[in-house]
Amino acid sequence: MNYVDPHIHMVSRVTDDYETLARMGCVAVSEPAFWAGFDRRSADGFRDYFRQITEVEPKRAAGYGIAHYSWLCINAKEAEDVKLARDVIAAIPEFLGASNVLGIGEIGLNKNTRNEATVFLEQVELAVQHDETILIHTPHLADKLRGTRMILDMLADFPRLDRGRVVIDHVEEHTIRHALDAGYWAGMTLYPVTKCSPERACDMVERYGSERLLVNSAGDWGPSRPVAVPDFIVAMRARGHAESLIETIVLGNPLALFQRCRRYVPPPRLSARG
Amino acid sequence: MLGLPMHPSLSDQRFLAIRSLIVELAAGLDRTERHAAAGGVLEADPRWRLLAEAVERLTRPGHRVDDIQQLFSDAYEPGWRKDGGPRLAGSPNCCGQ
Repeated sequence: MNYVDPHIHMVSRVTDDYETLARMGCVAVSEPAFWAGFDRRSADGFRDYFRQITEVEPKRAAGYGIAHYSWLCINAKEAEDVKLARDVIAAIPEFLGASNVLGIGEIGLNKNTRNEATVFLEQVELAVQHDETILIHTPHLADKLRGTRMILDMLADFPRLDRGRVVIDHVEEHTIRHALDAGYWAGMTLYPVTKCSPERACDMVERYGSERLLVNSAGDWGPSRPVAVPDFIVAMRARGHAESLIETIVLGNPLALFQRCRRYVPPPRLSARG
Repeated sequence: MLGLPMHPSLSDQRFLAIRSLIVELAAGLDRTERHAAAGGVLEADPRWRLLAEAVERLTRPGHRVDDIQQLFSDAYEPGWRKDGGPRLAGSPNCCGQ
């Protein structure tokens, strides 16, 4: 089955992973800007990173017939340094014209601090000013519920924000309803230990339906599985769910979201199919 | 909610999967107790009490996963912005303020 992984950090993955994704049916990936595993010391460090995800990774992906899209931001973990964050935010518009950029992300909260919230708000404002779609990271473990609610509180300050162009990512059983009820997209991240498993993602599909629901691997440099979306497909099939429902979630939904970005060009493999 | 496609009852496959998880859980708790026995600090660790509470909640019918996720979560305070919390920093006209 053709599918899209709407959240994966390919800068952290080896080229063999691209080959594996292609063999599994992956037609496109989208790569949000994130923490590199260490704090960068200058806005120029981010400029180099933005070049990597707007120029280098699309070429690497294309070698395997996979479309590569990206999102730009300073992530929550490095947002504690507000001055650095503002320097990075000022640099982002330099890259918004790149053809593979879908919007601003993954912004959000990590430890739910005041500085993180300040930088989050400023990046939502940037997205609104530039008419960009938004991908939002929600915190881990005990911080997740509170952080998700704080994010939704802050987004409510933007009455003209199109909720259908915003993803609340890394939802779990205790946060998914808050995101969907408010009109946002919800992303389920399938991780080996934290976040969500394929079986629990299937449970949430059965409880909440498929509308505005995404499944991703968030594959990165930590424990993660780049083939987590195919794992979800197999788990859904094992329960007897219809192929059309599965395809809606893993292909139709992410492409419907991406189409909300004015720069969006469909994945070449789908275009070739006609 | 979607219509559920199959498995109207407890299948062998599902029984074995849940059985395996419960056995792993029991072994993990035993292992933690055994390893902590020498130090004697387990009962003072609030995370251990949290795990015990979560195990107790497994026996309650209903949405156990929602209940346990809530148990493992910090409380949300609706008035978190009242005391000088962050406000929109840039143009007040950009988004209908």
